Amino acid sequence: MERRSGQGGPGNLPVVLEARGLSRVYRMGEVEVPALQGVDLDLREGEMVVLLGPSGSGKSTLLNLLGGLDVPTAGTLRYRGRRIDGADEDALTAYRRRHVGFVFQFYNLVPSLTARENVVLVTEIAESPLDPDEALAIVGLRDRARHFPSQMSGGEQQRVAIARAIAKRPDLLLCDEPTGALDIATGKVVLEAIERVNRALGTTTCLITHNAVIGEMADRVLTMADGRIVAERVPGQRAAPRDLTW
Amino acid sequence: MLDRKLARDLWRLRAQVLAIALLVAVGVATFTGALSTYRSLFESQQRTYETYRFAHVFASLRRAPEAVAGRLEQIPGVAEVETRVITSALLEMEGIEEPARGMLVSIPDGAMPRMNRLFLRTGRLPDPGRPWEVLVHEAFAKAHRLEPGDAIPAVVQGHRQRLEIAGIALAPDFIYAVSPGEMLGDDRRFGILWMQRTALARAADLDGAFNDVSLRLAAGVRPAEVIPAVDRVLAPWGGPGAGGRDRNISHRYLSDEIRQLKGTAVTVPALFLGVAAFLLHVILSRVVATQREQIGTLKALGLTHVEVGWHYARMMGLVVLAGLGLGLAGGLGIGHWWTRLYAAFYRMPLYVYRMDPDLLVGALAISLLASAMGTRGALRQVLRIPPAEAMRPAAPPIYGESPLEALSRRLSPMGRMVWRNVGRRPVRAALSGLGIAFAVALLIAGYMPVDAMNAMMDMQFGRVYREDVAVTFTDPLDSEAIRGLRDLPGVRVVEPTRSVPVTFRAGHRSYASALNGVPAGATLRRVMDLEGRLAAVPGRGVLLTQALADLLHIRPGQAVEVEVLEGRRPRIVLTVTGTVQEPLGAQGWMDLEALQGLLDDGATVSGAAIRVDGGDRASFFRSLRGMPRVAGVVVLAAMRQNFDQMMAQYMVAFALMLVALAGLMAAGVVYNTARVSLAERERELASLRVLGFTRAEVFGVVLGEMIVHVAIALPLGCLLGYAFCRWMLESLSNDLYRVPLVQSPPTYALACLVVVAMTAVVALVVRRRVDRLDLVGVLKTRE
Ligand SMILES: Nc1ncnc2c1ncn2[C@@H]1O[C@H](COP(=O)(O)OP(=O)(O)O)[C@@H](O)[C@H]1O
Ligand SMILES: [Mg+2]
Repeated sequence: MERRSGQGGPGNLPVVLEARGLSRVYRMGEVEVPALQGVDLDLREGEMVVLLGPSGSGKSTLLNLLGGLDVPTAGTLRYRGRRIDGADEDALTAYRRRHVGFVFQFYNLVPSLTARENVVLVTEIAESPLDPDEALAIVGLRDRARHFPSQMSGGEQQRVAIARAIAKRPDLLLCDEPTGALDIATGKVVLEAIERVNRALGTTTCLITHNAVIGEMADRVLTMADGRIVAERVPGQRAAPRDLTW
Repeated sequence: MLDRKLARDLWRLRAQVLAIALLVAVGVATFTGALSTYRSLFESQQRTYETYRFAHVFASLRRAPEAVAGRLEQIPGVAEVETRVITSALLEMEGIEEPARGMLVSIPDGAMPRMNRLFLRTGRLPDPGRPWEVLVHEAFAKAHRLEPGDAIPAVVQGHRQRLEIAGIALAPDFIYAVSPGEMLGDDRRFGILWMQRTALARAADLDGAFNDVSLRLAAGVRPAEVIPAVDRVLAPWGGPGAGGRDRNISHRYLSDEIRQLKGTAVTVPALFLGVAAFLLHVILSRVVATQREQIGTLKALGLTHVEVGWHYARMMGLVVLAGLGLGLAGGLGIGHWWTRLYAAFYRMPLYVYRMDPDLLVGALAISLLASAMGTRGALRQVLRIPPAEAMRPAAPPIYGESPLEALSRRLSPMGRMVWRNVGRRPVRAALSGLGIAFAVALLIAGYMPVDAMNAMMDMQFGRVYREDVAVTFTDPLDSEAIRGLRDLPGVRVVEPTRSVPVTFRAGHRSYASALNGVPAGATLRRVMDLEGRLAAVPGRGVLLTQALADLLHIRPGQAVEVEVLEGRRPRIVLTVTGTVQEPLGAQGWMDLEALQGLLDDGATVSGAAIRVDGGDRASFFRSLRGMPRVAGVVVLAAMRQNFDQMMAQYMVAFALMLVALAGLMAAGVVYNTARVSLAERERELASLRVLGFTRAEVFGVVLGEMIVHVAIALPLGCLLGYAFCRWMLESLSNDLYRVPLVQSPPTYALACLVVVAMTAVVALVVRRRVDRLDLVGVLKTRE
């Protein structure tokens, strides 16, 4: 697969997700917390975008809105031209089911299911899923298919989570600090798995981290502060995760 | 600060707190409600007796001159003597085809009796100038809507007479108005009427004489001390001899009922409290288990075990106190309601309701103990863990070793989740199932008395008493009377009956009851055991009901002494040929001819069982009315109907109350089980939702587990219910009743259905919680 982003202009590839003036205000009794304040963002097909920013800057809030886990208080969000802001719970569920794969800092595997069964859980409800074993192969865990989460290391569990997220061939892979709970070496293995998915399947990927170095593996790096995108950077060349050092 | 945590924890867990409090409340409410009812009724009975000067010794006789009363007064220990005339009458009442039976009891002319005083509900005492004025017992008056000023057409000693109602009354010796020789009261067909002495004596041909006497004793004198002397005085005048209050039918029934209630008042609440304690234990251990991390944090902050323990003890203490308060309020309500219901049922002139402080203390102690046991086990487990470890989640369970695993391969991943969650903690699933099973069992046991009574009545009316009409005579007659009955219109079969009042004796034990004669080849009245098997009545010797044999501690093959209490009053020794588990009564059976031979007073009969053709009933009853020696007529179908009505009114009300409480309990258990498993599974369920599973699909996982628990619970609950029923039987049986162990499939089915329905309701509530799962919030936190 050829390199598509980085050198081409932003208008070259179709926009998968389009956010305009996206805002989210949390209400806690009398107090209002504006977690997100008018974010404009386009995610294009096959892009690898890294979101950077200090803790509390609104990264998770943005990702959750993009993935249909939450609804904005203002602004619009379009998935391939279709409005998904203001959609009801059923529509959001369907959106997540068909198009979105999530990976969180904590792996959230189902403890009573094996690695393969955690993946099958998703392939059974997807329209044109990957073969579960293939999904596990992509993250390099084919031989651990029959293990339960409690029998695996944190890194392995996170890779199962990635396999599970991509098994439905999502259009969007959203990762919220996937390496946050892992040591450096393990973190790199996980990032490699994400990188491989992005390249092999062309899945639009958005990855949150507060580790600026990880931005080097992205097509685009967005920096957030106080609920706004304050900077956008396009690294010249995507670096391979194993070459990153921190 | 811990105080604030306490308050917040309670608020956060409010639904569960409520469910736990509810369990405690149900246990406490049944305990205090039933026991206070029993005590209040007992107290009401005593108060009524004191207030209305209930006599201590009773005797009935054939006829004695009034002067005999003076000799009774001279017996040491006797304080007061009052003589009466009592006779029977047939009453023509609208709305029933057969004549009702009236018992005419004398009162002094124009005055209140000195003992067994009347409570005048409405109207006034009869006027000495109007001999046929009467007071009517309230039960009979209510059943026929009689009021002062109304008149009752009657046949008194073969003479037609209109009785004029002066007032409605109650009396301590007829609190529960049941016709002699019958097992159930029927307010429509039996009534007490009080009439002035002079007029009644004249009607009964007892001028200047009496046939009933009541005695009150000096303080501290026991009836047994004076009865022999009374018997000596009365011996020449016929009759079964004197007796204590046990001789009074009303007192005997009432005391038996209250004693029976005491049995129920202990067993039923014991079941409820036991189950509540068990459920508390299960639920509390889970609640504490979900607090594991918090406990670790508290300990890490330097709090001692005692401080942490105290925190949770206080939390549970508050919950239990709330339940206790709720339960006491419920218990007061239930107790008051039941007491009023029973007092009205027995026509007590007055009733008191009391909730004794010791009941409150007992309820407090029991519920605190139950919850303390529940909390302690769970807390001990958590406190043992070092803080660092407690703050980590409990070690993830290892899957794949359960023997159930093989079965799970055919399931979908969702089904497998359910299956493995059950399989990995089989003990917990079993406990949850057991908790719900207890509720099923309580439902079954709560309704058991109703089923048992129905089954007993089905047997009595369908198979033991197979006649249409039972007739009793004023005195034993010769068999000529039977021939007279056979000639009445519509009569198809007539079989004589003979019931003799006797005292059975064996060693130092004795019991006053009846010896019944059964004609050879009887088809209408038969002796039958609890299982519905016919018992052979021996040609010689006597067959005893098991209840009587137990009272006398006597076995087949041994001898029993029978003292006949009428006629020539012979004493006979008979061999006990066998025993029969009869549902009603402690009595003896023997061959009619053999009995007549023993009595040696001609072929006498005391009544008859009759089959009547449906078409001729009206003329049959009309002719029966012309027979002067007929004291009572019982239509069995009407008796059954009356019984069913009574059951519907009282027993069913009682049973439904228990059923409602057990239902609440079921809901409490199911809800808590579901809530705890929801709390443990929150993250997993949220993950599923993030993956794109719909709310319905995710709910399916929770529902699956609920279904497994209920599936375990239903068969287990039926087994437990059976065990509970067996246990309760003991408390329901007494001298007069032997309750069969009845298993009614509809009751079992209904109990299961109630629990399934409760589960469905709980499922709806849980469904709402699943729908509202905060995806982002849950997943943001560390596992
Ligand atoms: N559920 C919530 N309720 C109230 N405030 C919230 C909630 N979630 C996040 N916030 C607030 O919104 C802001 C942005 O949070 P978040 O998006 O989680 O930041 P980041 O992921 O960049 O650390 C923070 O100030 C946070 O306190
Ligand atoms: Mg975040």
